[in-house]
Amino acid sequence: MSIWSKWLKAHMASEGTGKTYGNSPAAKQQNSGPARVQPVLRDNWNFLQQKIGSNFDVIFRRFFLDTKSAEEAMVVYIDNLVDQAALYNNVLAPLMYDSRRSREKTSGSGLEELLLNTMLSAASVTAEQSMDQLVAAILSGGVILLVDGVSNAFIIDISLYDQRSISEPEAEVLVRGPREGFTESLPANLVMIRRRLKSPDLIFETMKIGRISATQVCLAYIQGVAPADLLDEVKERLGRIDIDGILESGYLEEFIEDHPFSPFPQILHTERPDRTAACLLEGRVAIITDGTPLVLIVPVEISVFMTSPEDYYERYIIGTVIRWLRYAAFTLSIVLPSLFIAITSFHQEMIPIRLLISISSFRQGVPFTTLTEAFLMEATFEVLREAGTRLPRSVGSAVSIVGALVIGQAAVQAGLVSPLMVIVVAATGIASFTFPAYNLALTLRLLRFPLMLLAGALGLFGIMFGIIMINIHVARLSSFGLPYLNSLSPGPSTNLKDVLLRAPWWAMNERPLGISRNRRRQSRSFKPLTPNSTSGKEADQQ
Amino acid sequence: MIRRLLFIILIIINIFTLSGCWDAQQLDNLAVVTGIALEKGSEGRIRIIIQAVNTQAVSADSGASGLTFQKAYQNKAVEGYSLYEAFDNIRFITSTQQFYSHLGVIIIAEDLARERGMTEFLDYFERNAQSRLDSWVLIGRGDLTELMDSPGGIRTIPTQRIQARMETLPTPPFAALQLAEFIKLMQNESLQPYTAGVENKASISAADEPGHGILDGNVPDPLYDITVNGTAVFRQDKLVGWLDKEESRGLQWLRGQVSQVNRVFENPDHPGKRIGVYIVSAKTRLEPQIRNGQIVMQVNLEVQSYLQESQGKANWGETSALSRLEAAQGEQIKREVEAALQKGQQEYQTDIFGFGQAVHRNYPEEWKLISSEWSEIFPAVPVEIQVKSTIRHTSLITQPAEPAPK
Repeated sequence: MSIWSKWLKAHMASEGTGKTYGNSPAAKQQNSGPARVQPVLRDNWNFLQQKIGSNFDVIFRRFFLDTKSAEEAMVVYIDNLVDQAALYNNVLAPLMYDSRRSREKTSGSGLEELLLNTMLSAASVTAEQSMDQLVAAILSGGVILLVDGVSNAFIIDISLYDQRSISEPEAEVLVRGPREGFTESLPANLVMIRRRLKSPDLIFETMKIGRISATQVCLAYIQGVAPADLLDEVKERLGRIDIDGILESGYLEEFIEDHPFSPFPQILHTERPDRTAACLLEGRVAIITDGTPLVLIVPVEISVFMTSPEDYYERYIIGTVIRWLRYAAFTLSIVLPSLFIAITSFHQEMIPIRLLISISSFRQGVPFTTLTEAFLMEATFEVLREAGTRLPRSVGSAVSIVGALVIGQAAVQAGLVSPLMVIVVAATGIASFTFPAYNLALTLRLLRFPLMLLAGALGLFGIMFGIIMINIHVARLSSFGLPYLNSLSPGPSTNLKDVLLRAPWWAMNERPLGISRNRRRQSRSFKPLTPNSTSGKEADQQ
Repeated sequence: MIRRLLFIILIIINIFTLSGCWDAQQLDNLAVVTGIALEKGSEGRIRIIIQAVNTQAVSADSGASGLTFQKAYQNKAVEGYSLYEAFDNIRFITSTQQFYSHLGVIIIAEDLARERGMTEFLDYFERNAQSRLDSWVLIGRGDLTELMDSPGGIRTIPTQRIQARMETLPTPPFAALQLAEFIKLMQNESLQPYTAGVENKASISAADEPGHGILDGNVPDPLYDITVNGTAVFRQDKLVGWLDKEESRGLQWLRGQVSQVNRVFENPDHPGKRIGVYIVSAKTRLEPQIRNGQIVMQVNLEVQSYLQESQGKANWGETSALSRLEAAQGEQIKREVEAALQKGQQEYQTDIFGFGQAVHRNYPEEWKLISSEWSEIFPAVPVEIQVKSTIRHTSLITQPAEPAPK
């Protein structure tokens, strides 16, 4: 352990010396300063040709400006990343046909201003000198305009590519709540958040991570609500990442979490823009990665993983009850099999005699110990579940039939397992499906097995030991400095009314403790008042 | 880091060594013992009959495996000079591990309890970590082998049936005690233990002609059934005699153990007709007094009941009629108490009623002087019984329905 960490430190230090973790592809290759745009078009052309010209989908389009001197110009772009119509209408047509008149109108100012101010009618045009930036812009869907005699290049953003349409998030289905979910497109996702929070304080900051993938990662937060030190910490951790490619936000998650060896998830991921907006309002920070619909949210406590957005949309009484149901399922899904093992193989005196007789009669002829039996069944169940998730939907039903028949019926009839164990495993499985957060459910799936071993070796004592160990571990966890059990901490100003209960919205006047320092959500309680009796009568008369 | 690793290893070693329950037992290897009977064996040995559940017969699938007519229980009898020796001998005749944690009933043969006393038998059950202190300690009358092998009824395991009989009602039919309580009474200098007896008796439901009910494919009702019969009275740990039904009730009244029981007594207005009441609450206060240097025991009973049955013409809506009824109820209770006193105090001269305890409680100084002679003083203690008898309501009707003159 210690040797490993030392080696890691040394290794990382040697990598880090004398290098800056630039994100652009050329940053490391350019030792004699970054290349800049030259006034001579030919030079730039050569540079780009050498850099990206071997790609068949990179288009170099040379033409002459419709000016008196007819300067040579060139647009460079990637074939299918760019809106062809916009390119013609807003770039090529004005430059090739309409610029003489523009030139006559303006009085003798330079070609550069002329281009920017009167000729390029595309909405987003920026001047850029660094060749590396230009290459990056081309690769992410920009059109580059180079003009002979101008030492600036123009990046015209008219990117257009096919993307999945917005659909309901499949992993987080709600009965009551918005139906739209994030897509793989970052701009679309930003729009979805922006539409929910129309405030100038909602800030999107973007950065590129990944030497090859140059994935755009966007940091979303609400200024004045999200604490500044948290933002610095998130930026610092994201900035540290040096990897060739980020294909999913899970890559980022592992780079920036507090406790990399813990089985517990310390970062929430969600597909729901409404949930993201709610988290932003609580002072959390969202990390939106291009190319994946899963948005990361930091910092989070364990209770966040056990809530569903629907808790907050449905009536609070129901929200509270469902929350408790979920807590019960949480407990069951960790300890039910191990409790069954412990009690039936160590503490038979705890079972009421008639139940004991019935369990014992079901076990007649089962050749395995309860522990083996439980492991066998749990493992089979996990295999079936995995098969069910990975298979195409049309084959999936076959798996469930085989699972139900072979595992449920045949195994019992063959005397391999007792029917009670089937019930226990099924109850555990169903209980673990009640989780809104898939990653926490995965964790519990994992923790169940060591607990079962402990129960099989030591009985209830072992389970208690295991639970205490888990508790100690969880109590030590943190997410971006926020204690993992933060919301369970007692005190005069706690989050408990959003954990033990789902307090009505008019009673939750403050944002969760420990995240934002600006805690006031609403100035006072807006508890609805029952109309008094006179107004009620009037209403009746009407 | 190494220190920490060592620390973790130490903890792990500790869990395995500190845990009290090391050995796992698979359920199918356990024979769940529901009851044990002790009787005299050959040559001064004790014979124990161990009744365990036959899980194969109880199994829901037993029909499929063709084991329908197996008994739901299995009796094993072994002998030994001590209980432990006898229990040890079981290992030679079974392949399963006897599991005593669900032991519900300990039946001790009458002659053993009379001659050898209870102490040497109860020690094993009190000491053994597996057995429970809430097992019923009962005295077996008659042939215990037959008693333990008496199938029938809904609960087919005999000892389970006995246990259920003790536990379905808040007040057992006869004054029965559980192990912990029995031992407590036995150890107390101012109290004597008692407990109920069980017996195999001719069943009322059994038909006269054998084979009755077999046509329906049912097992015929057994000819004999286990009955709880009589309360055994002890002096120290030796059985000295029995109380019958009425006397046992008197004992329960005096011990303050009555709640939710039925009582039947004579209708005060119509001799020969009966009145049935359901007693919902009963309070007993033993108040000893010292008058002229002599201990007088005042017994105050407060009884509340509902009228459940009324034979004979009456209008219980009238206050005076109801008072007569209440007085009759009080008289009945008083009779029961007196009957118990007659047997326990006069005949057996053993303080099962807790009089000594009451004196100890109310006159601790005086008790110190007389405690050693209490067994001589007790039979002569005069007892004054006062019953405050109330009938709370007459249930749904006040007057019995009567045929109109036609």
